Amino acid sequence: MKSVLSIQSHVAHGYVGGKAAVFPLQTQGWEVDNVNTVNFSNHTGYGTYKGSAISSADLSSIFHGLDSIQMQYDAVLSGYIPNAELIDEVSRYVKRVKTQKPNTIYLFDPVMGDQGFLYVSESCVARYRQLLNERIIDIITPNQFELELLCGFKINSNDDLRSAVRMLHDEYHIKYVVISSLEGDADHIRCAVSAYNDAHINEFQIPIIKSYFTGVGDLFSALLLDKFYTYVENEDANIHTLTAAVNTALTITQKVLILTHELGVKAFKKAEGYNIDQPVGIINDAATMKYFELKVIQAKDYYSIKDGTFKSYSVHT
Amino acid sequence: MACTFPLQYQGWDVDAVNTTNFSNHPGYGKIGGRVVDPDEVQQVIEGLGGIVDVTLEYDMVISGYCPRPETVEVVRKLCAELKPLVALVVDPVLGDNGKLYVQETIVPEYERLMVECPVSLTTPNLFEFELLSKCKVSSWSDLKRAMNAFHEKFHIPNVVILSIEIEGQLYAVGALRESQSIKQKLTSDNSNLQESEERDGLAIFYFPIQKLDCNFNGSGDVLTAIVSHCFYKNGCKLTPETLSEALIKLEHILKKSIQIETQKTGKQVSHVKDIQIVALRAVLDMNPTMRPVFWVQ
Ligand SMILES: Nc1ncnc2c1ncn2[C@@H]1O[C@H](COP(=O)(O)OP(=O)(O)OP(=O)(O)O)[C@@H](O)[C@H]1O
Ligand SMILES: Nc1ncnc2c1ncn2[C@@H]1O[C@H](COP(=O)(O)OP(=O)(O)OP(=O)(O)O)[C@@H](O)[C@H]1O
Ligand SMILES: [Mg+2]
Ligand SMILES: [Mg+2]
Repeated sequence: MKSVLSIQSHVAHGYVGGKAAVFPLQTQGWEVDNVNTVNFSNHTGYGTYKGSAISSADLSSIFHGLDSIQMQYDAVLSGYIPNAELIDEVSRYVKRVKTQKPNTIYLFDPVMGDQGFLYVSESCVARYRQLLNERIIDIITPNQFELELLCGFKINSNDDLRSAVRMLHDEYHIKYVVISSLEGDADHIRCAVSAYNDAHINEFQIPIIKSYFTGVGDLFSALLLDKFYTYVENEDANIHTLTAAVNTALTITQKVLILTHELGVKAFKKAEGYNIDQPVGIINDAATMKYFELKVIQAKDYYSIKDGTFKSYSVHT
Repeated sequence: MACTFPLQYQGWDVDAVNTTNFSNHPGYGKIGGRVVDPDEVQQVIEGLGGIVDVTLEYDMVISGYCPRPETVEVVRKLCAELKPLVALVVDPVLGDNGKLYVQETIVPEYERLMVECPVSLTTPNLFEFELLSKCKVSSWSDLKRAMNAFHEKFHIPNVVILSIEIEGQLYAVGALRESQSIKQKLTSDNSNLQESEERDGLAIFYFPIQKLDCNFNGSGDVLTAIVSHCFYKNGCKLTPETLSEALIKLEHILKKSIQIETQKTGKQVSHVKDIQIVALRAVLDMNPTMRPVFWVQ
């Protein structure tokens, strides 16, 4: 059995963080050890929530517990970590895991914010840069905003993109870089893929679904980990395997979003008794938001999809 | 926790409120992390209340391991408010094999919960059942007496006792309260239709189960998840079919977990620390044929 340590946020209601990542992995046969960085009633997009972040003493105690039963993992996946002290704990433990078993794959999603808006404490940015220096990360999946924060400059062109990606490969020794979303044209999100030993950056154009989704990045990185791990089992990882894994993860993500939107619109109509022109989830509006929680459970059969249907392009600079 | 995945796999959206936050379960002998403060559990439930109506949002509410009396109290306050359409399942996790694994003061808290809340189904093990009914069970007549006492005290319409050993044989027992007399196929008596004997409106049935020479951790949680699902699917009525289906699935999972562990270690195993519910998830899709059922006369 393949095993993964997943370090994520927990919400009782809804599907972000661990709730978006763990079930898809389990359906693909991953034995998931789940460590929660926060314990909330629901995600913050509802405008109200209760619960708290774990203390660094408690997180450290959990990691020591795992140490003392000598856990080893095939992979580690980390997502939302709300403050710098917790990042330190994670960083220390993942280092130990990789010392125990050097070929453990660490997929690091530097969840910090989106579209200019930071949703972790400011101190996380510097601490994440330190984590990058530890040379423990195999795959990184920032969105454009997160990439800009890590690299310290804005991405306005393909040249900027190339410099940022090279910085992650060359300065931080991260082999595989996936930019989960980059600003595209009005109707598309771009997703960029790069491997350390190849000069090409591949890119996907994803049609935007006009709705309000949360937790998509968490689902995407979990799917990417599963597909990457499966594809490299038979061959050496290179830009082609990585691109293929991203393609499949994007394809599944898109299907989940379409299902979420369809079921959300239907449930909204049924419950509210009317159809609004464009019933998209509205941020900070609990009444609308709840219909557009990712349909992670209902999408169970998608996670085993083996091939992606998007086309990739080579980026020219 | 072992409850969430089997429920999700069977199609349930699970809003999981954690009562503990440990690195692993106590079966390993070492543990990191800690119990979630009952106040924090209360906070999370209040937070849910801010976005949904918790008294009727859910089709089913399942209560499992509560480490502190105050945690049970928090759960009781929530459950007492549940609307009649919500199926409430309580697994009164107290201990096993003659030993409590919670503080003693938690027992009366559970009693109060089970008296005051509209519990549809409860799944104690034998030790828990004896504690709650205040009766010792070592024969079928003991069981009948205990079940009546249990019923008089708690008025819970559906009861499953996961395992009882009587005269060296292991059994799983179900009890249901019937409001009117029912017709039953007495399979032990080769399929003649008979009016089932009705005493205090309580029908008790059982299935022999094969005793595996092994200890398991978390088997109770997985069984509760499977029974709860079958129970709900059947219109919130415990029937022999329901329990039989759950038992067959669990038995598969336990046997194969032993096999996997044996393969891994290359040795005979006497303790399975983690039953392999993820690896064996396909078992949940099975549609097993019903086992012969026996009724307590
Ligand atoms: N509105 C949308 N329409 C279509 N696809 C989307 C939409 N939102 C997200 N996706 C898909 O999900 C992928 C990941 O989303 P995105 O990069 O926005 O996540 P994120 O939360 O910003 O990432 P992270 O969790 O790393 O911060 C995108 O590459 C895209 O394929
Ligand atoms: N050694 C065993 N042989 C056969 N079946 C077993 C064995 N141990 C457990 N089981 C099965 O698992 C079910 C639940 O076990 P048990 O009665 O120990 O529940 P529990 O005490 O609530 O468990 P837990 O302490 O894990 O919550 C039983 O009904 C039985 O089917
Ligand atoms: Mg994100
Ligand atoms: Mg139990």
